[in-house]
Amino acid sequence: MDLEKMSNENKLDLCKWYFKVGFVFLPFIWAVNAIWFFNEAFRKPAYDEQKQIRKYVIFSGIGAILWGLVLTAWIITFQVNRVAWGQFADDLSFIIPLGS
Amino acid sequence: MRFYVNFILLVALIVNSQSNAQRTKDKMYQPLNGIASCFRRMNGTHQTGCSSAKEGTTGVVHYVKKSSELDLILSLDNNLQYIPAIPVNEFTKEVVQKLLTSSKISGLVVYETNETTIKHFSHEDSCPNRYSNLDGTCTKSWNEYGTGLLLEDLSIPIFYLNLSEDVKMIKDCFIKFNNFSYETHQDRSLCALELSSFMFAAINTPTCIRRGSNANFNFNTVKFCDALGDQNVWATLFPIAQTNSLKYVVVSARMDSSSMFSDLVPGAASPVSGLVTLLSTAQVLKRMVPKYEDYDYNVIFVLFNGESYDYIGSQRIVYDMSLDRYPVHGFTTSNNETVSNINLKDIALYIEISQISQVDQMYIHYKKDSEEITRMFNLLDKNNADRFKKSSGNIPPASLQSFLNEDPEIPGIVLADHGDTYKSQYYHSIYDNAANLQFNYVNTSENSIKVVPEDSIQEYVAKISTGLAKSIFEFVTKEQYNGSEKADVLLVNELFHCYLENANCTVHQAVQRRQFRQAPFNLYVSVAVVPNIVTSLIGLTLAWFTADKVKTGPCDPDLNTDIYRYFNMSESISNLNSTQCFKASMNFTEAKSPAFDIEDYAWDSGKYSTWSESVWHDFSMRMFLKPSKSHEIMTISIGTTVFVAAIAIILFIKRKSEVLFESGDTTPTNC
Repeated sequence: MDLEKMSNENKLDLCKWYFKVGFVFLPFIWAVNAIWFFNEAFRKPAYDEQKQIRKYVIFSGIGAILWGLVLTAWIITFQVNRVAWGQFADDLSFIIPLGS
Repeated sequence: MRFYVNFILLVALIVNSQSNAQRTKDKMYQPLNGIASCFRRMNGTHQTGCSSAKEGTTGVVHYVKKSSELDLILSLDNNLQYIPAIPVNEFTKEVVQKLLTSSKISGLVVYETNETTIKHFSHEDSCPNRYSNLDGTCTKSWNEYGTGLLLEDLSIPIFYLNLSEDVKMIKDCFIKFNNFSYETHQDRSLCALELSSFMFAAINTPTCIRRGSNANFNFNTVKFCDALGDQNVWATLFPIAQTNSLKYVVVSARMDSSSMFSDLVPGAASPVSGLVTLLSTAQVLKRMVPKYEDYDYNVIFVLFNGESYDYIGSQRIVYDMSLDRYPVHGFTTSNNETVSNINLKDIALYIEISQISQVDQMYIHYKKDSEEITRMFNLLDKNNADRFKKSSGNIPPASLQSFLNEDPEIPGIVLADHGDTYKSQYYHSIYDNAANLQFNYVNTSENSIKVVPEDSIQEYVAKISTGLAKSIFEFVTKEQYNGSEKADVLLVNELFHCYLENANCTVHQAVQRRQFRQAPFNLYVSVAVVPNIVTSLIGLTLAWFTADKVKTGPCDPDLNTDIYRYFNMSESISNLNSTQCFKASMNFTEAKSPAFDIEDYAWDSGKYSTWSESVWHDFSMRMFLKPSKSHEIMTISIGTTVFVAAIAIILFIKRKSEVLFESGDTTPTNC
């Protein structure tokens, strides 16, 4: 999809849709939304829908960053404690590393 | 033109394929061959042994002849990691602990040397199988010089190198590149080693078994470890079907040993000396009493496997006996009569043959006196020229411990060459070999003089087994033995040779009727899923010694029943080409710890053996020239520069492509 060829209204709908979908535990959608619509929200000359798009972009960005922080914290905690947690950690693992 | 280019390429390919097709990265390494590695084993609560890093552990070689020379590298102020190569006589607990605590050491190579004699070398516990013995057993240090290193988790890979050319290669490389100006080590190329012995499993047995199972999310199930175990052997003197209600005299020995390094488990004093004594005793006893005649007892010969690892074999038999399924659960004879299994209560007397060596004084260890033990002792003493001495109270670590743990009332004795401490100073080590047992093979096929020296271990074991067989005969028949049967010293000679020096010996050819590798077997019990060929050969040998001859010539097909097994074997070791049909009451039972079969077994309870062995991919050791730090930095800088430059050039060419390349067609491509 090329944003250049879309009407401003469609852009808003798309941005809003991406924002909503992100709530279904899909932080990557938020990240994509924030990056994809960044130019539309902040760099393009003002147009009617821009304010709303900007709002969705900002919230998507915040959501993605929060998710990123939480995931990073969990991954670090899990990797550090994997061996100590014993069976619990093994049960959570898809692939168990060899030798530790 | 195109043809010409292709032709050139083809010629280049042909020329190239004739040269050694080795990858450049492998050409940097010199593989070393005569290696044996320390590896990881686990029990219910701990991991023991060694592992390298996943991609192999590397370090700068430091070849020494004395461990004191190691202080030099330990005190160096640089960021390098070292792999010392020390002679085997310096491989002591103190040295290993010193190396383990230093961050400068990434691995260890122990090389074989003949320059010094080693007085004692045992890395087994001072009280072997400490946690499976009866209370009080470990108040004595049975294995006096045992360091217990075998039971420790060693954080570095350790390799044993027994090929003198390879040792020399390391030494030469070390002298050429490393052994000068230590303060500039960081600034120059150094001779280094890469040790690969990466172990898949970790932590303890329940963990690695759980990880290897298909539970939960685990998509990619890999096998992490295997339970240790193999097979036990049993054979009865009288066919078990004829003697349903009789009590048994159990004569036992063990079949396995242990050491720190893979495939180097000679086990001369333990178990071979006891094993050969048992086999020889069985052979004499069968000749003394070929037929059952209304005696009160039967005799069962039992050989345990995995005894080095908390009595795997004997624990299994005791467990099976307590469930009334030893030797086989409810088996029937061809006449459809059910043969009763052997239970702990059916044991009239238990005799274990432990380590045997040439000593003036043999010991009979027992826990508690009983009528049977006294009778047996008197018989043994009479038949062995007063060689035996009683030692009551704590018995040494032995399979009998498993039986007494279950039922303390079983009358049991352990025959050994030692009192409170082992005579063998090389227990469970690579030095428990023929030389240290003072065994010198008398080659009867090449030598015209077929005489084994009077003061040899062969002669000694023959005497002991004759006396033991006589005593068992008199115990079972309650009569004086007046015959002239005695142990065949040439057979004893041959049996020692089979287990210690050459598996392709006459006894093995007689029972299996094929050729074997001209090397001794490895007596490590190994994992239960892989049967040891040596176990089946020991079983066949015991069958041969206790079987009845059916006829001359091969057996009729399909005679085997649950109780009797028929074998085509040679008549004797001096007549290998003859074929006779033997009917034996010998069979194998599983020697796998019950811990692995009991559902929801409490792994930390210590009731049964929990030993398992990690899976590994390969053991390898390679030598290479490690470049200096500045050299490494330069290499990576050049690589990075070339990479960045290439991107820049490509980008430039892409941008300017319209200018650089003349375009034939100016119309744009359709989307």
